[in-house]
Amino acid sequence: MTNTTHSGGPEPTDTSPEKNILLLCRSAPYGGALARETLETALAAGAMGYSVSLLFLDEGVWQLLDNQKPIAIHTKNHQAMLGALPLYEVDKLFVERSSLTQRQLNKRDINPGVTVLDTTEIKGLFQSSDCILSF
Amino acid sequence: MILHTVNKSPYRSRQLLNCLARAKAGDRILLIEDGVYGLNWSDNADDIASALALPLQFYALLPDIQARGLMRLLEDSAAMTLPCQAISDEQFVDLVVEADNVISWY
Amino acid sequence: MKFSIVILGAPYTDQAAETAYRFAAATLARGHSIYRLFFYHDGVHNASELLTLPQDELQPARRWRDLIQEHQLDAVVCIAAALRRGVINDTEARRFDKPAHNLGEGIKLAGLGELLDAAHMSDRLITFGATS
Repeated sequence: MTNTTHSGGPEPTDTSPEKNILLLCRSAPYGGALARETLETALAAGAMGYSVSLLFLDEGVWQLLDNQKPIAIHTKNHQAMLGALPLYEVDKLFVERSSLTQRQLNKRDINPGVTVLDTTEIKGLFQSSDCILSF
Repeated sequence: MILHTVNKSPYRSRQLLNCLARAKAGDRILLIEDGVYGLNWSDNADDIASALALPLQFYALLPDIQARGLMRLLEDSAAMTLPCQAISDEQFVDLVVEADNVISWY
Repeated sequence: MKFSIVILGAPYTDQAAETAYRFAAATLARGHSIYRLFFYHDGVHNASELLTLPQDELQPARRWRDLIQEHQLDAVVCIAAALRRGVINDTEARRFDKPAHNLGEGIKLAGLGELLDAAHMSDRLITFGATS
């Protein structure tokens, strides 16, 4: 094992096959930094060519609401960060149906680029991911 | 098999419920930190019954049980409503090795 | 097996960093290797040399430093998360005209690419989170 010391971002190596990395987004935006720092990880992954998927679960589904206007709380717009994901070719975005319904939300309340999955499909997504980053 | 870690008390947080809702047959659940208060989870009989109906294995981190004065629960099966096997830090590492992935619920 | 460990909790405030430390030590005790320790979110506070606890309490920064040095571990603090929280090395302190720096010895400030590289290169990755 060697400890790498990259100054910039490391590229995925050719020596090991590309892994599917799943980022779990389980926090609401604005009340804490975790939602934002998860998306920063996703943007970095996209910029460096890693294969990542995002799964919005539990309180994380609030990130997907339309019409966020955080200017009044002096915070950057979370929706704008989400909007940047496709520009970095991060386009595998999933949300759990029951997390939405528990919160009286449905598909038309959220970002249209996100695929709604049943909990059974989510268990499959966990199983098919090579690495899960639990944020 | 996925190893799920839960570090919040079920009396305070939904993380254990959130975890159980997404665990599949054969997965393992490890209670750590305040998660070990789940050993005597008793405020929601329906949730506990459905958790125990799933083919899951439950573990709890021994240093956290000891720290919190909960050792008596390990000897009292009536009080331990969520039957867990107490494990060491090294056995925690072994569970991670045996799992395909780890999900942390916190 | 090659492990990477992601630490998201601040020392003292939450137990997460303590659990992560014990897990790291147990990983090495079991004969596995640690590919990378990655400090992110409030976990960046673990890298501050300025943590000062009463003498009868365990010194988290010193314990991490000793573990990192003894086992020659690769330890990385996310630079963006660290700078936002006032954890900074001498280079960045000069760049941003700050009067002091506090990043612990043996720990690097680097980008999120190091986290993704760890996810890609490790056999197992585990996150220790703290958010209430």
